[in-house]
Amino acid sequence: VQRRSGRGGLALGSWLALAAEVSAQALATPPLPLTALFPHRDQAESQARLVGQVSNSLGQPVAGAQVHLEGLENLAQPIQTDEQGAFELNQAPAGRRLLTVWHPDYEKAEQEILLQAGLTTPVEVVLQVPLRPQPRRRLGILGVGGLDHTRLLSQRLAIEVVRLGLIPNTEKVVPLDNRRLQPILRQVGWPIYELFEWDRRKPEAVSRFFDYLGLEAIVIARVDVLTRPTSPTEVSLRSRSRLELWRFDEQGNLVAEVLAEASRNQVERGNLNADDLAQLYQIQVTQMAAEIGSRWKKNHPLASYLELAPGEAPVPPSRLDTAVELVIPPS
Amino acid sequence: LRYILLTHLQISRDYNRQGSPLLNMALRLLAPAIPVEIPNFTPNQLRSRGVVVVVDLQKDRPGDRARYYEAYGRDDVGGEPLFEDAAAGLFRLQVRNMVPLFIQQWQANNPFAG
Repeated sequence: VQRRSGRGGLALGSWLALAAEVSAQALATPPLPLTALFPHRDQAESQARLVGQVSNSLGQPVAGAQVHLEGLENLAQPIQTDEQGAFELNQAPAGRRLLTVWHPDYEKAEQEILLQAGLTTPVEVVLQVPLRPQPRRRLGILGVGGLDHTRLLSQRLAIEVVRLGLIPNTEKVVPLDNRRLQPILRQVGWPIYELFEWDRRKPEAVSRFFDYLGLEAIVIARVDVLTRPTSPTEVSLRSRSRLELWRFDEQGNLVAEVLAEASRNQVERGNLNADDLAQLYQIQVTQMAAEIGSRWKKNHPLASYLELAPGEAPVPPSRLDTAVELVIPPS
Repeated sequence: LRYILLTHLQISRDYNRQGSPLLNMALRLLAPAIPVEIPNFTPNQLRSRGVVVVVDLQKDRPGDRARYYEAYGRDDVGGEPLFEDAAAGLFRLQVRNMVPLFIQQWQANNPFAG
């Protein structure tokens, strides 16, 4: 255009006519096929290889699971995982495909994978145990905290409560572990610290949580801490713990009540590191659990949940009798 | 992928020096010559600031003005010092309350319209 207008003789109309002519020529020639840009590949090269490993949420291999790949419908025999949970597909079609793994004991897993021609694609599939509502019969116990360190302390309180026999470890009692609850929480739709929030209760979600775990009621252990300097050289470690009972009454309303509360306040030197703090708080938690236990000896608030079945022997509380002796050899 | 949302949250837990207004009003009436206020020494002034930056990978170039949205949360809780988990619960609520503020800002100035 620059060249032609440089000549000066062409009017705008004729330029438009020229442009139209050029575009008409472009339309007349068929567009270059995109495939011509890439080197030609034969059929064998457009095949991809897929190797996979199927395991359950505990990491154990799942043998005999059926594997199905989208676009590979008419196989002579279905693909199954071997004893190590592994499977292999040597002639898989390349591209973005949906992989489906199915086993009667687990939930069906679907995963989209990208297979590239001529390459081997590894894939790992984790099968989850299906979540089915169970009859509500058991008493759960769980430590709940919104921060990492309070969650650990709360879990510690829950463990101490069972260890000291405040809640005997019978068949009816399920000590729950935060880390193992993830699939259920995903189903329920709340993180654990929001599910059991004291101020904003969520009856439907708690009800589903009870159903999946077969719980009649749950004891929630909470520990909260506050570290504050009291003077330039000293720091006060305050902690409070609480045991709550969450259950549904006869009308189906969610009821939460406080079973026990205890608190500790301790002044220590100011140059403590995070590990020291964590250990001091753990000791406080153990002391608080023991204090609650001594209060409960007279009047146990959970007696109705812990009635033993006829013929069942009571479980003796376990005790820590380990003595640690530190011997420094004379030099 | 066309848009990336970068989110950032700052929290602080400060001492509120304001004190009780009723108590300080009474003090001012009793002793008007002495300009003294009794402060509140609990570390329960919870402040948070949430920032969302929307990056349009197709249009934005280095040096462009950032599409930047922010919202604030503030709580002044009197009484005893809040324990850590309780304070964390309030901060979580502040974050939840920021969401409608961001939605309002996006309605006024939609970062995904281009």
